Amino acid sequence: MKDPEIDPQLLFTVASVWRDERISCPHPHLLQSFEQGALTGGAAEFVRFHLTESQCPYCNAVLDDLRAQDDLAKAPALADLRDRLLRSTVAELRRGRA
Amino acid sequence: MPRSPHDIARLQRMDDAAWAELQDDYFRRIYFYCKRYVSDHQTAEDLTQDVFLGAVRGIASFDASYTLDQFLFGIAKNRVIDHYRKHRLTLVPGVADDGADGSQLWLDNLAHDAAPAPKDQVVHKEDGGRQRRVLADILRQHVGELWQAGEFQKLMILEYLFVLGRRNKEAATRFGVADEKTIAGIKFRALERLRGLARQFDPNHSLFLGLWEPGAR
Repeated sequence: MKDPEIDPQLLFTVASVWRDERISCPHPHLLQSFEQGALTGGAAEFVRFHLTESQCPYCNAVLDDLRAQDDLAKAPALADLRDRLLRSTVAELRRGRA
Repeated sequence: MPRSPHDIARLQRMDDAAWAELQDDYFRRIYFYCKRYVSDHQTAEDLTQDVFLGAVRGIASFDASYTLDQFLFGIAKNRVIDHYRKHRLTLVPGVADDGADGSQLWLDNLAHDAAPAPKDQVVHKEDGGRQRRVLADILRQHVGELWQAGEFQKLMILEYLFVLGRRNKEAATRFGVADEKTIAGIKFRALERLRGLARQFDPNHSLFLGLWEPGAR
C-alpha cells in the first residue's frame, strides 16, 4: 500500500548513501598517487577495487580528468567545452536575473 | 569530503563570476562522469551543458544539508538517467534480487536483520533527512576506522556486500576466503559497530527507533 506521505527520496539504502555520500572514496591526492604508482600495499589494492570492480563513477571521473590533463592532445576539445558552457550558463543566468 | 570554497549565496544571486568559478572547478569532472555512461564526446558535452543549466535553475532551492559536489553530481546522475530513458537504453544490468540483496540494506536493518523491506517503511520527511545524514556520518566514521587500521580487505568486503549488493558466498570466492562464515562474521561485526555508532548519534532515542526496542541487539 502506498503512503502519500512517504517521500520517495527517503527510500534510501545503505548502498545509495554509501555511493552518493562518497563514503569510501579516496581523496583525489590518493587517486593521483595511485595513478603515478606511488600508492602501495592494501591501500593500492583497495583503490584498484574501488575504481575497477566497484566502478565508482566519481573517482573514475576524477581519474579520467587527471589522465586527460596529462594528455595534451585532449586539452583543446575540453577548452572548447569550457567556452560553450560559459556562453550557455551566462545566457541562463541573464534569464534568471530578468 | 572537503567543504566547497564556492559561495552559495553568490551563486543564488546569479553572480556571473561565481558561476564561472564553479564551472571551471567542476566541468571537467562532470564531463568525465557523463562520458563514462555515454559513448561519444558530443553527448557527454551536451549532458555537461544540461547539468550546469539545471544547476542554475535549481540553485535557488539548494538544500544546505548537501554539498555542492553532491548537488552537481546528483543533477549529472539524473541527466544520464534521463538520457538513457529517452533512448530506451538500459543503464545498469539489474542484480538478481531475492530479498537478501545487500544493496537493499536499509536503516532498520541495522536494528533487525528481519526488518521490513524498504518499500514498507514509513518515515517522516524531517526524520528521514536526519537519518540519512547520521547514517552517512556513521558509515564514514567506520570506514575511516578501517582505513586507519589498514583493514583494507575488510573495507573491500564491506563495499562488495553493501554497495555492490553481493552475497556472502560470492564475497568468499572473490576474496579467497575459505569459509563463507568468515564473511558473515565480518558483516556481523560491521553491523554491530554501526549499530553502536548509531546509538551514540541518537541519545534521545528519537532517530533509530528500532535500535531501542526491547530485544534489539
